Amino acid sequence: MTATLSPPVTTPPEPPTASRIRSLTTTIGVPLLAVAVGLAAGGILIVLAGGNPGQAYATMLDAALGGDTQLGRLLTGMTPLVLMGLGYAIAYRTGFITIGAQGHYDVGAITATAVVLSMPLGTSWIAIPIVAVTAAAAGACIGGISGVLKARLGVNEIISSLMLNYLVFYTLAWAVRKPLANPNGFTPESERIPDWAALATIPGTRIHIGVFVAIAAVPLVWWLMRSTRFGFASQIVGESPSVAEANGISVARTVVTSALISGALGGIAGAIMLLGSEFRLSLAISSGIGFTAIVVALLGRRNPFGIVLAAALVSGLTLGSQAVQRTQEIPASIGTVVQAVMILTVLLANRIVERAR
Amino acid sequence: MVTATSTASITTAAGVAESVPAEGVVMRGIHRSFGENTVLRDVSLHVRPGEVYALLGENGAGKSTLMRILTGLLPPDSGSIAVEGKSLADGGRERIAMVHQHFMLVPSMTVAENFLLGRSRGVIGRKRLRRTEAEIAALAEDTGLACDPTARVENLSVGEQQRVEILRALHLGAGYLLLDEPTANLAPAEVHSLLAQVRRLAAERAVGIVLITHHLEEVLEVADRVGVLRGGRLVAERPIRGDGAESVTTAELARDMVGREVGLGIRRAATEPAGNRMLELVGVSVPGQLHDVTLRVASGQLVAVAGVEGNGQSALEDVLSGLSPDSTGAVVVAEREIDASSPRAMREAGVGIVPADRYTRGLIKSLGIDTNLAIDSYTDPPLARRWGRLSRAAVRERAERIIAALSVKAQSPRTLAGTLSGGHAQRVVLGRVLDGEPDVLVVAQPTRGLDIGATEFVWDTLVDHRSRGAAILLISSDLDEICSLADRIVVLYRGRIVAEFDEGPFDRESLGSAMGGFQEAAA
Repeated sequence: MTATLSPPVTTPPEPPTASRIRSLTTTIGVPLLAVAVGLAAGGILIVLAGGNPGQAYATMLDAALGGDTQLGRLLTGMTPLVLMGLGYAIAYRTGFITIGAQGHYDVGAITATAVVLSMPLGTSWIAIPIVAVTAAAAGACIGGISGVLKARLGVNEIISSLMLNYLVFYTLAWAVRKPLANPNGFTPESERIPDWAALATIPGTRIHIGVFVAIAAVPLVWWLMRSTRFGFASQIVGESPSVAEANGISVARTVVTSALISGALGGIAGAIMLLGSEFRLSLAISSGIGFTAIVVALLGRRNPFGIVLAAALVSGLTLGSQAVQRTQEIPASIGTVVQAVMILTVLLANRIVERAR
Repeated sequence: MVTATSTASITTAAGVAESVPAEGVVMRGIHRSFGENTVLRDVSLHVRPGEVYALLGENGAGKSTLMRILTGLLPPDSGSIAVEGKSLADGGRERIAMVHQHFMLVPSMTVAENFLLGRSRGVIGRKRLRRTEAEIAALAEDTGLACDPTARVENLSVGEQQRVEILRALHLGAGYLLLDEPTANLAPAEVHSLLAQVRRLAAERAVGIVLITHHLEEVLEVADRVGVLRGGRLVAERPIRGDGAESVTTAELARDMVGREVGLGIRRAATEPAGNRMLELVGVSVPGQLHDVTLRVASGQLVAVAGVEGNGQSALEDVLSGLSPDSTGAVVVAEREIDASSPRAMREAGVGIVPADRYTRGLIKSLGIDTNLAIDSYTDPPLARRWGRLSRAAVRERAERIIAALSVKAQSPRTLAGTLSGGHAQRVVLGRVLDGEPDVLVVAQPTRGLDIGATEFVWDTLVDHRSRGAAILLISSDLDEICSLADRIVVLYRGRIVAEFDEGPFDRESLGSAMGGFQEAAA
C-alpha cells in the first residue's frame, strides 16, 4: 500500500536564446519536415502509377518556375491563396476558426461581375476601386454574419461559415442562370467582362495588379497583427476570452472585427480572380480554392510570410501536377494527395512538439 | 486482520505495527506532498460502519487530498489504508464511493440509464433496464431516498440529483460514502432533509459516512464524531454522540479549525485614523448569490471580507470587477456613484482588481509577461498611439519597470507567464494592477496556493499601498491573512454579511462561528 513518488524534476531554466532558437527550429522545421514527407509520399504514388518520381518532380519544378509564363501563372495562382490565407490567419488569431473563405471568395466574384456588367464605368481607374470596395464589403458581410452569430449567440463559426458557403454557392448558381446569365451562352455562365474592366498586366506577362495587392497585404497584415491595438486584442481574445473580458477587452467586438477583415480579404481575392484570370463568372470559379487557402495558412503556420511560401508551394504543386498529367499520364490528383499528407504531417508534428514541452 | 502487503514500509505515528480492526475504513500515518509542499502529515483516522464522521477544515487544509487518496485516485507517499481489512487494490476500493460536489451524471439520460453507465458493454437491453429500475425503486423505498428511476436527470433538482448519486453508490455495493460538501448547493429545506437521510443511512444500513463540510452546525446536527484537519494534520478528533461523547461547541470546533497561532505577524495600519470613505457598497445584491451587502472602506483602511468560500465571495468580486450585469444596489467610489457595468468603467473609476482566479481572469500562461502586463492598459497612452497603433517599445518599458519594481523572477520581459511560479505570477498580476496606483484596491484570495515567502511579499505589498492611502477590500477565506491585515472584518455567510468586527485583536472563535453561520456568537 505504499507508493513512493520520485522527487519532482526541476529543470534548470534555460537561457532565452535557447528557447528562441528552439521555437525557431519548430517554426521552420515543422513545415520543412511536412514538405519532405509530402513529396516522399507523392514519390511513392508516382512509382505506383508507373512514373519516375525524379522526372515527374523535375517536370513540376519546370511548370512552376521554368520561365516567365510559368512564373506568371504561379504568381497569379498564389494571389487568392495568399489573401485568403491571411484572412484565415487573422481570424484564427482571435480564436475564430472560420472555414468561410470559399463563400467570401465566391461572393466577391459575383459582386465584381455584377458591378462591371451593370455599370458603364468605362475605365478601369474608376472601376477597380469601386469593385474592390464592393467586393470587400460583400465578403465582409458574409464573414460578419458568422462573426455576429458567434459573438452574440455563441453559434459555432465552423458550422455557420460552412453553411454560408452553400448559401453563397447556390446564389452563384442562380446568378449565372438568371440575372447575370450570358444571353448567347449555352452553359450557366455570365458574359465576358468588358475589356476595360480587366486588371492591367505587366506588358508581356500574365502578372496583373492583383498580384501586387497580395504582395502589399502581406506586410500590412503582419503589421496589423504585431503593432496595432486590434492585433493585440485579438491575441488576448484568442488565447483567453475570460482574461480579455475581465480586463475590459470586448470579445464580441474583436471577434466581429476579425471576421469582417477575413471576409473582406476573401471578397477581394474573388474579385481579383474574376477580373484578372477568369474574366467571366461560372460555376467553375467555386472550385474549393477557399479550402486550399486554409491548407496554405496551416502550412505557413499562420505567419504572413510563411503563408507566402506555403502558397507558392501549393500553387506550384497544383500547376506541376497538371503538367505531369499532361506529359507523363500520371493523375494530377497526386498533387492533392501531397498537400493532404503535408497538412497531416504539420498537425502531427505540432502535437508532438507540444507534448515534448 | 492486517494484510501483509508491504508492511515493511508502513510508518505509523508511533512507528509500531499495531493490529488493524477488520471493520471500517482505517487510514494509518498518511503522508503526501506535492513537490516541496507537504499537504498531509501523518494522518490516521478510522471510520466505523454505521458512523457519521465529519471532516472539518479550512480550504487547503488537505481534505480533498485525503479523500482522493482514500478513493484511490492518488497514492500516498507513505501510510496505509485498509477497508474492512483489505487494501484498496484488493477489493477495498469498491466498498468506498465518493459523492462529489459536482455530480457525475449524464443529464440527458434517465436515472436508471445513469446507473448502468459503464457497467455493461454494448446495448443496454430493455429487460436489464426494467430490472435496474425495479432495483432502484426498491432501494429508494428501503433507504427513504425518494427517487423516480425513469426520470431524466436534467429534470431533477440539485437535491434529487444528489440522492441519485447516493443511491448509485449504494447500488454499486458501497459500504462507505464520502460526501464532499453535500449541502453546498442545496436550498435550506433540502439541507435538513439530506442530513436526516444521512443519519438514517448510517443508523439503518450501517453505512459508514465521511461528511466533508465547512458548516459547523451541520457537524453538530449529524455527526457521531468529528475530525479537524489543519495544515495537513489531524489536529483534533472529538466524539459528539454515543460512547464518551463530549459536549462540543461550535466555538471549540472553530478554534480547532483555524488554530490560534498567528502565521506571519500582525500588520495592522499605523494608529492614524482612516481617511475619507473611498469605496462604499450600498444594498448590493446578486440574485441567488448576494443579498443586500452594505459596506464601507476608507482610504488608508483595509477591510476584510471573511467567510468560507462559496458564500458569495465570487459574486462580490464579480460586482466589483464590473462583471455582474444582474446586480442591483449602488457602488460608490470617492462619494460618486459609479456605473459598475463593465471592467473598463471600474478601472476608470480608480478601482483595481486582483482576481481570485489567477489564470482565468488575470494571466494568460501562453503569452509573455510583457503582453500580460499590457492587457489592461494597452488602450491608454503611452502604450496606445495614434491610428490604432500599439507601441511595442512602451509595452516593453512598462514590463521592465513592473518586473523591476516587484522583483519578478524572469529572464526577460518576453518570458511566458506560464513558466512563473505561483508567487511570481501573482506578482505580475499585482504589478499590473498597482502600476496605476488605484485609489481602491479589491483583492480576492491573494495568497491562495502561495508559499510563505510569497505570501509575505503579497501582504507587505498590500500594507504598503494601504500606507499610501489606498482603500483596500480584501476578500479572503484565510483567517490568518485576515487577522494579520485587517482593520475591520465583515463576515459573509450564504450571501449576507452576518457579522462585523470593528477592532482588533480579533477573536478567532467568534470569527470562526460567524463563518460557520452562528450569528449569535458574533460580537
